[in-house]
Amino acid sequence: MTRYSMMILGSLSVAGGLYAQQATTEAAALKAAYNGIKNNVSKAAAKMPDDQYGFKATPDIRTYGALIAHITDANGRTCAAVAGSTPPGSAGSKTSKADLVEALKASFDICDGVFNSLSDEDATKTVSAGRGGPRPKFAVLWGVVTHSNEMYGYMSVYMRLKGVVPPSSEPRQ
Amino acid sequence: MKPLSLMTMALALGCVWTLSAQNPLSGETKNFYTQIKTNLVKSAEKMPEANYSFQPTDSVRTFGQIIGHVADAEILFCSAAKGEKKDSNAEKTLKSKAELVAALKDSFSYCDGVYNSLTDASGVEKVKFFGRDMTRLGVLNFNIAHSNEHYGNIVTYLRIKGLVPPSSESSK
Repeated sequence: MTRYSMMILGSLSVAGGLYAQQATTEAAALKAAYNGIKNNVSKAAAKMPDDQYGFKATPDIRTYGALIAHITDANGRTCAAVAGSTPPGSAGSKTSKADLVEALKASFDICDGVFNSLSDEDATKTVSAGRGGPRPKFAVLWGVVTHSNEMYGYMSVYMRLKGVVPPSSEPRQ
Repeated sequence: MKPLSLMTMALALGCVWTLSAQNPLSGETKNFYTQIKTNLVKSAEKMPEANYSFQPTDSVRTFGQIIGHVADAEILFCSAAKGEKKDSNAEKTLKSKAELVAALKDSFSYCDGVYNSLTDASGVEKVKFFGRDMTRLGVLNFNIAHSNEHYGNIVTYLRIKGLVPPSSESSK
């Protein structure tokens, strides 16, 4: 590995989940990616002070709290659909840190059940979740991961604007 | 439209559907890749040159550095998936919008070949990524997740500068 590749690896926040685990099958790669972003989003929600949950970087975008609610709703709805369970109620009306952190954790609990039970046999299965008809189960779950990564990209800028270091940039222990 | 053209289009669509049906997983990965590639290239083109040095706060990358970082990472992930050694150093060496947009497009041109040749069968083959075994599809999906994270950064920068991100533009 070249020195420059190592530098890039160090700056890839997705690499935490990736590098911590062997991901030699599709199911393992998906689980590693999910655990990486779940860890970052959960820590980011816990780390931002309560009085900054109403902060937004500019007026025409979501508040920090609304970003957490959006991830919560998207993940909870999609994972419940994949699991075949009743979707949780929306977190859209919640504004306090305590309520939103709790709702986020509940949505990850639903997703944990889905991601932790994945096996390579799931590669050929389809599910109906979100828009359109049945789609490959793995693709729907990669959608959960990529969408959460996009939202985490917003959150990390908000955190930096408030002088808070995003979890993915904390020194590795 | 002439009947022959309609027939040609129907045949072409049939081929695409058949390929997608045969390769559902890699087909979805290609869709995710095309979507984020489109959003990133449009964002890079949309941000004015003067704002390429913009950073919302001192502790984060400038807009131009994010574009360079994404270009470097695309090469890193896609060369691993392809089994080639290829470095890119756009983030540290390029400054102007023209250079960075070109580097980003070049990185996507390189990745296009990798994603376009992907099938469900080739996706489960093991490749080396930072010295570890990983499936080709896994490496390419991680690349998409990483690009999405930085698109999230970029959206915030664009909004702060009063620009509508490509993903929020009304479809025409």
